[in-house]
Amino acid sequence: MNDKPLFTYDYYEPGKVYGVREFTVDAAVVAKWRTVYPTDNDPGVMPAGMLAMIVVDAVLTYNSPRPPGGIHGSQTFELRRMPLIGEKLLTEVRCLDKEIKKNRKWVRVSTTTRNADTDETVFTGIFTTLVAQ
Amino acid sequence: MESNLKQASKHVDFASIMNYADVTNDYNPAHVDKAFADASPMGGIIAHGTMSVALIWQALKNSLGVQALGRVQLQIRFVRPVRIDDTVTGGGQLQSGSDNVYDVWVRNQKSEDLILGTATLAP
Repeated sequence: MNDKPLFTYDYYEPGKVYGVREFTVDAAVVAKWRTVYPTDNDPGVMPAGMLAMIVVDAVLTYNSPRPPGGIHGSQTFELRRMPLIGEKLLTEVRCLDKEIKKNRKWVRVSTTTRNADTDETVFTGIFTTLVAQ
Repeated sequence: MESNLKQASKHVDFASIMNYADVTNDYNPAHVDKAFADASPMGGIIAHGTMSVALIWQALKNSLGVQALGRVQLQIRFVRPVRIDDTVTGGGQLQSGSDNVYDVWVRNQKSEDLILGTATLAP
């Protein structure tokens, strides 16, 4: 039985860091990505579409279980450079803020992805969700 | 700088949605559970929004080169869901008077906007 709390709107705490997720851009995970996008094939460089994969993986790891049916409303990515194949990344997940607009419950979660060895920031993002009621 | 991004397209079927769910570990029933999705306000399965964002990245890469991606700030809104059997296309145009900001989009086969936003290239 899963006894973790449900990530309802009320459960989010602005400013709180929920965790730091490790993600290695290894050949296997890139091959998995290419089952969806076969033409994403730049030697040495992670396919850019996988940026969202890293963010979604980190957010869902720490902000779950979620009420079913939430909607991803918007997203930002700010890149310092592209991740490289073979690179180990750490993504911090933090609740930025939350707001009720027109009876809809919006939560913004910020992510900061760094190189695991050097602590260099590789990219940041903001993931905005309409939380299911 | 290219004024129009070279577009990238993808046909979305249920198999590709399930592949994307497997890749991202995102099994939100809105994407993968037909009975749940049919009864939801969306009225049927919708693809993951981020699945189509990859087409914007491909359009940027096709036009500006892979090295340029490392200088991009991308801001996007998901304005309409992607449905099964949609063919979606990502593209964009350089904003009038700008040399580093593109209006970017993803549209379906009916030319409806699905994702809208901007891509800004840092110097």
